[in-house]
Amino acid sequence: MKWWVHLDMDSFFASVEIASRPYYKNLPVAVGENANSGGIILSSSYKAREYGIRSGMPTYQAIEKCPSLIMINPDMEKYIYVSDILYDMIKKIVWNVKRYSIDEVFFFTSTKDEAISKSILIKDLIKKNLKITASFGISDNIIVAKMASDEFKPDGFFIVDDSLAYIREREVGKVPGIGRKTEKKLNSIGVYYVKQIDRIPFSVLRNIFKHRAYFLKEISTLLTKKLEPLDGGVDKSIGQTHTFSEDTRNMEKLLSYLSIITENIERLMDEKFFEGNIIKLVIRYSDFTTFTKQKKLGRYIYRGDDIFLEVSKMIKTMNLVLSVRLLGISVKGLRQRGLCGNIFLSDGYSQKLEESIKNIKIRFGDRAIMKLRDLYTNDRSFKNRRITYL
Amino acid sequence: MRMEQIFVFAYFAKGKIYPKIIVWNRKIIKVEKITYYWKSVNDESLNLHFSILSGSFYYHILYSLSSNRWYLVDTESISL
Repeated sequence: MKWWVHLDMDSFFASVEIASRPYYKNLPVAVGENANSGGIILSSSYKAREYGIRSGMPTYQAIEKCPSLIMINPDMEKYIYVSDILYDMIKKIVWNVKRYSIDEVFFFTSTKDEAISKSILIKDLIKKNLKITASFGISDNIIVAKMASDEFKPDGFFIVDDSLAYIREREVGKVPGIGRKTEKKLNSIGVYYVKQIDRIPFSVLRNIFKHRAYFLKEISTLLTKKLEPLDGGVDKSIGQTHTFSEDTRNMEKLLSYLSIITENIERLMDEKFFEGNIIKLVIRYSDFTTFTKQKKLGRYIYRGDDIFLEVSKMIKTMNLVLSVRLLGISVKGLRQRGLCGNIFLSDGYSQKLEESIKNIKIRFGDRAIMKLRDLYTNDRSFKNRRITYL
Repeated sequence: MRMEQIFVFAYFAKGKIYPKIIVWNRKIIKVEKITYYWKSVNDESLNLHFSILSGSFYYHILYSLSSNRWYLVDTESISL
């Protein structure tokens, strides 16, 4: 059994500044950009929070709330350095540390006692070496561990023995992964607490929240054991092909189209909330002979980037004897995805970036934002987008 | 604040640098406490930063390893 630990630094930027300037201790301090340039608060001390000052608030508004607020210009190099020191320090104690953001990390241990003892050790080291504090959340579920670290801030330590009972009593808006929009939608159907999600039939949830319904169901039960292959999952597949208007052997062009195909597959996988562990690459040559290569992976994937990484490795090892007429990729070995386990696999910044890219595509179309490697698929885009070759 | 070159008497021990006395504008400032220390990389040169308290003033000084020079980055009064 895994015991997850979530470490969250307390008002990180502000704490680092207070450690540098100890005479600001117990005073309202905020790190942020200048009010005149329309800046915002990046971090505020706990004293400043008593005045209602929060991260993301416009600086002028914060100064209105607390005229005696001490504003400090952000020094990102300093915060990154301290974050790196923190990460290296934890890495010496636990092998499986995963950085989630500049001031948050996860790790897991095999027993609860080990999780507690290592957390206490790390907590003391942070205080001693960095002169700042961190809050810890410990649970057998990664989402609950993240929620638990927020319970007794600052300098908190909270262990959750019964994860299910804990999460079911929480408001839906407090669950990582449920944003304001989803919270509002849930509230509109009378769901305010996680336990109330159970009352809504799954078909209704599916209609309202599409694929996110699986995530909602999962957090209300914390059941991730349903990650069984689908009936006939090994044979079932999700895939796509592309036929070139002119046969080609240009590797850059082939990779560019593979990238587009993998993005489309990600979208299809996302709609059904699947992930797979078998990747199949199909190549049809100009003489209509077809060649396939299949690879079974040691992990389940669904993201376009992960699929692209695998197929690009596969195509690079192939000796293209003729020009290619058709390219195809399919993902097999499908199973229903369990979001509770995957939500923190990529770091917070990557998740936000992916989310923003998806939103831009939905609003302005697929071609509005592209990866550089995809530009080969539409030569005109070079001209229209004023990209200059040097 | 623009960085200003300063003179610093420092000693090296256990692989670390400890600034002891700062000479700035012909004033001699005795380092009473180093409150924080961090590194940054600028134009491929490594800089060591120190937050220092002396009397009723705070100083942020920097040592550039590429030029072997000390700079005063920021200072403020501690009169709260």
